[in-house]
Amino acid sequence: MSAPRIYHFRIDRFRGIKDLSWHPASGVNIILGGGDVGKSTILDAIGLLLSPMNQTALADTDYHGRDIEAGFSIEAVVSLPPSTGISYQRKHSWPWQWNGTEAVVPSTDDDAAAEGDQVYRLRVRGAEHELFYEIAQPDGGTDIFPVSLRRSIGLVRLAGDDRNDRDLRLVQGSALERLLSDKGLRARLASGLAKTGVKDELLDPARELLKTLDRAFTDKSLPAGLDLAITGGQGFSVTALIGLTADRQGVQLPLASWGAGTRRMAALIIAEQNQGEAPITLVDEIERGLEPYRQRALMAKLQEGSAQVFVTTHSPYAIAAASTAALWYVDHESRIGPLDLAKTRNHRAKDPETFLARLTIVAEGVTECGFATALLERAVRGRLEDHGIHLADGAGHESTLGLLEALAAGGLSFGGFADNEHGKHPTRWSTLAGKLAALLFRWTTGCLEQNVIGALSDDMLEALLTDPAEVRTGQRLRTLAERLATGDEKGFATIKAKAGADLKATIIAATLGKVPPNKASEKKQYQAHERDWFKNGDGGRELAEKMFSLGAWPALKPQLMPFCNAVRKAVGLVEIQDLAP
Amino acid sequence: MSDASVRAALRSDAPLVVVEAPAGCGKTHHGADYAREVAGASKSTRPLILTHTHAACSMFFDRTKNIGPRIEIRTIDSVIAHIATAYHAGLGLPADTAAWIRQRGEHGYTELAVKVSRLLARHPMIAASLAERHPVVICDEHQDSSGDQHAVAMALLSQKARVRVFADPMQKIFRDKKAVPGCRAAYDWGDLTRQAQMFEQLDTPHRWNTGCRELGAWTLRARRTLATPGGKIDLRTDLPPSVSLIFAENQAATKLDYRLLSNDRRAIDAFEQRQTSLLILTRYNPTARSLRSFFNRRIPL
Repeated sequence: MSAPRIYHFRIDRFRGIKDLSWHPASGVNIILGGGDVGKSTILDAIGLLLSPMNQTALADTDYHGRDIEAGFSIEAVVSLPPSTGISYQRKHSWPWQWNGTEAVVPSTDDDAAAEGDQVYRLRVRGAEHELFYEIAQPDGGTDIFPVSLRRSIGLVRLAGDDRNDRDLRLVQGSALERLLSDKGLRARLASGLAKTGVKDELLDPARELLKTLDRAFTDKSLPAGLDLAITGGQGFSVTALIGLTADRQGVQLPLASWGAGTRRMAALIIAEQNQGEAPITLVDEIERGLEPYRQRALMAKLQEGSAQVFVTTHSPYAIAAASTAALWYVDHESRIGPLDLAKTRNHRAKDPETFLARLTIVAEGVTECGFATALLERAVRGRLEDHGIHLADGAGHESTLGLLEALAAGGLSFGGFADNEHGKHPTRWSTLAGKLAALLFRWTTGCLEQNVIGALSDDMLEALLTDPAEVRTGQRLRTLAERLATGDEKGFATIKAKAGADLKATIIAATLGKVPPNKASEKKQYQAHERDWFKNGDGGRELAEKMFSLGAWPALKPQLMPFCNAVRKAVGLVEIQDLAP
Repeated sequence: MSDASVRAALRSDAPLVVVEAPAGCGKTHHGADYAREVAGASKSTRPLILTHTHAACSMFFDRTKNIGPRIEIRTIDSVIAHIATAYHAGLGLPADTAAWIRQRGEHGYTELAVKVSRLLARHPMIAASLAERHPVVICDEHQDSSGDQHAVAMALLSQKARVRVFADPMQKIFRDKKAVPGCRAAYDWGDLTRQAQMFEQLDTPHRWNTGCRELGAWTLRARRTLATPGGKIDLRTDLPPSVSLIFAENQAATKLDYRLLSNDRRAIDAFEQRQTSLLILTRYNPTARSLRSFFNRRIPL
């Protein structure tokens, strides 16, 4: 146990997060999710708890729902190496035992576990605009969690905001200060700086005013002989004015004036130089200021180290670069859950937006994606991006089910849009439905084409096969002619006459690329039919629009409406009774 | 076998050093001196001195005054009670362990030590955190430690604290503490000295330097004699020349009472009024009580 590590993290009523309970992994934790779901709040909460400064200002908005009276609380169960000085506090801080899930009081009960890491419970509470730093003790009481201990825990924070160059300065508790750890510097500098002739730099009128002030002091028997000098003071120190500089084309410039990426890399390297230390590190928006190749390099570097790291990102490069890191997703209800590295590999590489949206809906295939997009655009009355909704192509029944299961395993809220293929995997689907409720849409029976086309009246079938873009109409007629063996006659009237009562069934068979029983030898040719119908980029949308324009919606509404409302609710919209035609 | 070798042994890297020290040979001096040195060497090191009585605490406290709170001087019972209070929930005790101890009467601390030594054995992390805080532990008058109290000290040793034990097995005055269910057997002095990487004996009777050196030497000799199996000493013969013997026969009429002829009494009174201390050995407790009235209750017995 050489580095501090957070085993469990808990937030109550801090900013947008009402309550959150999380067991982060020991190495790199990448936190994904849509905008405003609380990713940065999690990092800020860790930052506040381990802040090396005596924070003063709290905003109303730091309290959930601005309820200042209820207060907020941030608590972490952490292991602390001896080097942090946890055992040298004025009052002894007693360790708790980590039982794998929570910190418990070590017990002599026979059924209590004897094994378990030594952990401490650190807490910061906000109450009445003040912060209370506490170490919870096993006896039920609390001791103060002093700034000195927080400093020696040595949190490294590569903040998202551009102004922060703390770690490139000699401010107390910064990585640079810890690295150089020259305790006498402040005193030596102070005595040197005190000799600086500030007064000599003053213009005459100002110097006169200082003299007048000196006389007034003398008159009032106050200390006299006034002069000006550079001095430190309460809450600020002369050393805080000292920052790293570097050579840029022959001129020494503050490192703080370099780009955000360089500053962040520099801060990380400084922290790393602290021998043997692997401090808890927060990286807000890892992509900030970094080109894709440097994002990958930084991710690789973090993953090599032994420090516990918390990263937020919106960068597909960073997501794709995660090889050993633990991936976490914060859903629209501010719950955090794990993403299985292996099961999400394809989507991380091909469609990283799946993990960067507020609400991701995994649809079974390209048609379902298009159909659900068009349907939901009507449901939310606008573009899906504006609501942080993303449709992900699950690429098949099996992989959709697998991906949804992987996502739901962490208790996360995702949407799903799938067929009911011959009742496959009934238990797995019903387990999933139990978790996702109405956000998981499945047809009662059959698939998308069967349901939508099935709900059309026969006199709408000609309109159905008419491609609004006028590209596929002829091809569609050809697929039907082929199936009905009408020879060279490919007109709709001929086809309709030949098919008779079977027209709808023939169309459905064509849309699904079904191979007629006696045509096994021409399997490929028949299977290709589906692409001429709706199994393509625009097909799903076309089918959705025709569902509305050709009158199938009333019949399908009872099935689809609850799903539409569940999605509305997930993105903070009220329930509606019907969709506009 | 000297002050110098004890000094060196205490300061060595040996995890366990045992020093057998008869009264008056400077163990408090050595212990306090070492503790002061350890505390002075680094800001974060707080030696822990474990005693058995509050009187011993004050004695160490007087000798380490200038170092202030950086040396922790506690009775072993108070350390045990401190651990018990911190982990009362895991021991099935109420939060107010002090009240629990009082309720138990004379067995309170003994029962507590049983519970705490079991807790430390099961969860080494607790002793580890204490050993981190107190990398040096000095056990004073360790002959008075019960099996469970000893186990607490050994738990700190097993978590890499350097333990320095001072004891005089011949001064054991608390006897074996009253046994309670589940308590550990008394530890064995021989085992402890064999377990120690260094075993030293203090044999310079410093306390006698300002008094009668011969008597000091005689006391150590007598101690050695008593330490050998079947060894006996005779208080009437072979005494240092400075020791005067007064034979006074008890004239009391009633059994266990105490009364002297005035001639005999004069010699004793004359001594008693000149001196600040007086050791009285009697065979029976009632005789001691009678002696109290004999001295007009001037001497608390």
